[in-house]
Amino acid sequence: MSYPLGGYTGQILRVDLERKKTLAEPLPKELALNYLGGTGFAARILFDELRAGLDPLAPENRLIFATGPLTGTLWPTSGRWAAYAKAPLTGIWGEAHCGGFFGPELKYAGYDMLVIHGRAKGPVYLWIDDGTVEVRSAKDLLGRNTAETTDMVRERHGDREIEVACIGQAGERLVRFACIMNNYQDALGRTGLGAVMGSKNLKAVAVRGTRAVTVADDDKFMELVDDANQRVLKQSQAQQMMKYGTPLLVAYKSNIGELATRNHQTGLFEGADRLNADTIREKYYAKTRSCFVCAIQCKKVNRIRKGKYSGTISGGPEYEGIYALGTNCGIDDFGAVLKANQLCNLYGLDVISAGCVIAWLMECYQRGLVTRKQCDGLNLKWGNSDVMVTLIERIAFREGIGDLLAQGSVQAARKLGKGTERYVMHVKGMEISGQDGRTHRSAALTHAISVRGADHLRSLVTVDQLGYEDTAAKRYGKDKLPEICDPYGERYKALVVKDAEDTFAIRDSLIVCWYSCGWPPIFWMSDFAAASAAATGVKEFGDVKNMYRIAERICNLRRAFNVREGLSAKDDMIPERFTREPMPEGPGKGQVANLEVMLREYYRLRKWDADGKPTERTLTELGLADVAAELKRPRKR
Amino acid sequence: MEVVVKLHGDLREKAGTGTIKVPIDEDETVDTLLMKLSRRHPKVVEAILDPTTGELLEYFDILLNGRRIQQIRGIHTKLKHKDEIAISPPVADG
Amino acid sequence: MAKIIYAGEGCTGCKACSVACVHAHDRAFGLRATRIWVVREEPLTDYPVVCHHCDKPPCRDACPVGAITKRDDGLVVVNERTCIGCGACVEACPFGAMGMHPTKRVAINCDLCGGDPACVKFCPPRVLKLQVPEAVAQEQRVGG
Repeated sequence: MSYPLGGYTGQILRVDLERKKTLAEPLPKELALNYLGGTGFAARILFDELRAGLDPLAPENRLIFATGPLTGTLWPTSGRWAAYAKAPLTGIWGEAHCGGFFGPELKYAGYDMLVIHGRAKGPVYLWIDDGTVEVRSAKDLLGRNTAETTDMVRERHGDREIEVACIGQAGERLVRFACIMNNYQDALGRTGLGAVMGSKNLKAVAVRGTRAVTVADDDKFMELVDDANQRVLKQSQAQQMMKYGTPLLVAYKSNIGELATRNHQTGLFEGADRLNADTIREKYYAKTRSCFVCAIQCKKVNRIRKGKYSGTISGGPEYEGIYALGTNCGIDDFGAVLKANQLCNLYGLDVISAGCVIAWLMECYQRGLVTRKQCDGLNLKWGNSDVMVTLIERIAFREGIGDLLAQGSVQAARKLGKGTERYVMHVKGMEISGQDGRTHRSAALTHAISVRGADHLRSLVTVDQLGYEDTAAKRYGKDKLPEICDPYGERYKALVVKDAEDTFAIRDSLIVCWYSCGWPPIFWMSDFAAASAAATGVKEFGDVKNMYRIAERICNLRRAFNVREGLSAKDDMIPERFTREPMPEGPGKGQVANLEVMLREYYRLRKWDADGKPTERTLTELGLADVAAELKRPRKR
Repeated sequence: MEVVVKLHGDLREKAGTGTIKVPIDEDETVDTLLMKLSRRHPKVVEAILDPTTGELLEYFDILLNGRRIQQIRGIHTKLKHKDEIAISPPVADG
Repeated sequence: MAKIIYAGEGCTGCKACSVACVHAHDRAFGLRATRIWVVREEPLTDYPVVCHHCDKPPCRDACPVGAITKRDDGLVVVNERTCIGCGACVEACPFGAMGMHPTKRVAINCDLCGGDPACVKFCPPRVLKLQVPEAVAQEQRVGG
């Protein structure tokens, strides 16, 4: 039953929760050839099978768990997998990536992708045991947090190696930024995909895979694996990540004045030293616990030994957690940040959206737009770490003010009114991650054009934050210096953001980790091309030009999904804080981001029209004539 | 006249401190500062200079008051009283 | 006789050893057909489990068909042709270091990959060694 292409299992598992019917269907070869895997597969399926205007919480929404041809192999950082759906938080393209071990286990069970539709009548979980697939009652799992759910499912099936992807109390209550957890500490964090599971009464997906995955040219592939591992060991960033993890960014951003503080009002935080990697390593570090087969080993577990949150042991926080739950709320108490991070993992909440909706409420409080009475009597002054931890609990259980916040910042501000919308730091409904376009100019464009809303993982490039002039010159040409590395200039930024977005679309389809291609990158498009060709046996994958073509096809198809929902250039906006309010202090004092000029250049490079829409010619050139036709049909309202 | 050198990550561990005050005279540059630093903290400077070329290792960033010295005049950048020099290991955003 | 020794700490629970082991034997990437397992316990415990090639192997004594032998070079080996897949040895091993191949349905344990173990090579934190236990003891004594 082996599939003609290496790296793939060759099967898609379809599950209809309504009729409790499951079907393993073959993976169409042209889907693999034209879309590679992961994000590429999901772009095609979501565009084909969903229609504009669909409520993300409706049964018809698809929840896709996908892997790629490298998932589950020995290629370093290849433990990644991802979930896709129309997003509850934003109503547009929803995508979230994760480490842990679920992706490889799904492939070992014989599936490249799991597509779930329909809504179960009562609470269920999906049990996948190689070829045996059952929809089972989850009545006793209801109300459990993600750790308890994982343990109970493993106990029930008498196997500690079963991998579980599940939601906590937040997903059950359809919190708009609920996430899906795997392996206790790995999150499919953003866009609210936990609420999609909740809306389908699907508490968990459990997988046992006893098979194995083969690649087309094993000798060549293993050569590439050895080379890749060597490069990770020698690469400077990877070595630092191995020791400190992502919190390394706190000190660096503090030094360059880009440490987003108090709802992005400024880039300097007086408490930064209490939250940086040096302090964490010295006072709180407990252990390194990596994702599947990872050579970078960036994931840390920390422990609080003193104070109110003494005894807390939790994976993380990553830089984004320190930003969202810490500096962005004016909080410097690492114990509270770790506790809140732990609660987000247990209840199944996206750390970034949860922290940012609290930061928005705190700024409304600072400006007198909300009173304590309206907020359950809580004192919402900046830096009140205990209130932040309390609010995480209330959001997850939708109690008191938590019920308002659980709808996401945009909806909450719309309900609250009184000018509070002005202080929501979001793009297309998703709260902004820990970058600031004023002091890292290309990040302004990344936040604006990212397909799932303000996002730092689909196209963020730090060539204009970290520099490394000779790497930039090698990749983009000496003539681009120095502007390409200037953190305060717009020149050449569309070029690097577009190149990164294409490369990351391939990375997200293989699926390998974000840190495989940070800056300066360990791997880039040519490495992905070689690995894909050796793994799958598809010679064309080995040609970088073809990979860029697949990447552009994926980026155009994801963009078309949003255009069909009614999005255009008007939505590629970032809050005025970044374009009108000059950075108040620090090295970047006085800087604002001129988004327009970067946006126009980006549309030009993408060969889209001035309204940010893929033209018929561009789509047809990429083999997406059917998509062009669909976009021309008048939208049913 | 003096400048403050701030260290992070491995460099901080090698120096045993995160902050070093270094007295400077008139037209001191980053280059001469590194030489002074190497006398008191040889391990730190060794870690950031390429042993063969003596150049700054490609992936270490030296910031002068928050701006990368490559944006200014590299290791020939002039220093003045109360400047803050941050030497941090390479980081990847994300 | 040298065997796979874990340094006692530093394991990150990434299972690279398990996947490398399956690939070394079956030229495929998987987990359940491994001969070196990784135990992950919350919140802070990860460690590998692998055959100790005991001098008086309980697995051999439990085998009803004599498919397991202790060779002169010290290796405890399963004869896959005579093994009937009953699992008695899997139950008998005090370390849980004898496995059952999910598709071949025969008992499998570590065979040191013929002297160049894949797990040692692929372990990212480099905490697995091919070493003689007595040599490890000497290091420990010196280490003090």
